[in-house]
Amino acid sequence: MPFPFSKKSPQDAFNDLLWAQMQRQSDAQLEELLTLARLLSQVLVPVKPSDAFVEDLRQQLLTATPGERRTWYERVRQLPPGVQLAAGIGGATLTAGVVLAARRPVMDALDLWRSRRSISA
Amino acid sequence: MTRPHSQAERDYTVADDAQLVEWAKDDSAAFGELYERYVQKIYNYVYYRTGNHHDAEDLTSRVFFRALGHIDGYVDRGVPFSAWLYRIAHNLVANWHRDRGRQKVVPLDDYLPSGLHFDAPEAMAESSEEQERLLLSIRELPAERQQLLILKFVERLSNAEIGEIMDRTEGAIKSLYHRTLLSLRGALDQDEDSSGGASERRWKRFGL
Repeated sequence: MPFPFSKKSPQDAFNDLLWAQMQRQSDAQLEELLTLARLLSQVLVPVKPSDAFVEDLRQQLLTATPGERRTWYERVRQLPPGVQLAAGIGGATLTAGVVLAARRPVMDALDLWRSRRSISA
Repeated sequence: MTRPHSQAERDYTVADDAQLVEWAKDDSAAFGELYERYVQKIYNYVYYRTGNHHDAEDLTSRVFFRALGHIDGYVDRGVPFSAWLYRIAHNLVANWHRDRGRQKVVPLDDYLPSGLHFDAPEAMAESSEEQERLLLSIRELPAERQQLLILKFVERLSNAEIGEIMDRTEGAIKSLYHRTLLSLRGALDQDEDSSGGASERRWKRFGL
């Protein structure tokens, strides 16, 4: 006996639930829906992938290293949004700081070059 | 939960999914066990969403490679691991449909449902035609309704289990199921009417 804890088969129990769920439908409509549900259970049956495919894919997966197929972009996208935002702000701030810090020596060098050029002229 | 220190001590077959996922972050054998547990389910899902074995194999491969690539970032939020795999599969199938456009043909040459049996050959032919029409109508449904039907009828999951995978309540799944049946019946009736037949004929034909 496949279902020792219930006198009803799963299909019968399922049908009972469906009946209860659709009490507002007319009898004819209910019968059609039940027929449709039974048709679905007959048409949507499990399919089995070929053994060769399953084994081949298994071998490919076992020989691959976890994470080796992820690009840098995928790794960043995987981070939580808050971390991505913080990283973006931090990166922009650092870049701006470096630019500002490097600005003065560069400007000084430019001034020096211009002054020497004007003197020589 | 005790965690064995070496891979040799690990018993993959009795470990639950959450434990396997933790191990799989640096242990390919653990991922192999997860693969064994879910390859057929994912294959079935993709097969019924695409309608052919070739694309089902291709997309199933991609699902598991993507899962392997992201397994170390997987966070257990209390939902089944299968929900994560189905989400990956759903996204890949959506991309597949977007890239190819909606496919109108379901090859059924190598697909023979075992449910319907008729004594008369003409009834058998009608049965095959009805099955093909039903499968086509299913594939015209929105993605979430297709997923619901696949999980309910192919995987034989309960509404509660389907709810966990689809991130909905059990009541929402029941409601969605009811609406799906109604829309599917409407689509079949419309199809039958447009082909010149009487909609009641189909229901009586199966004698159910």
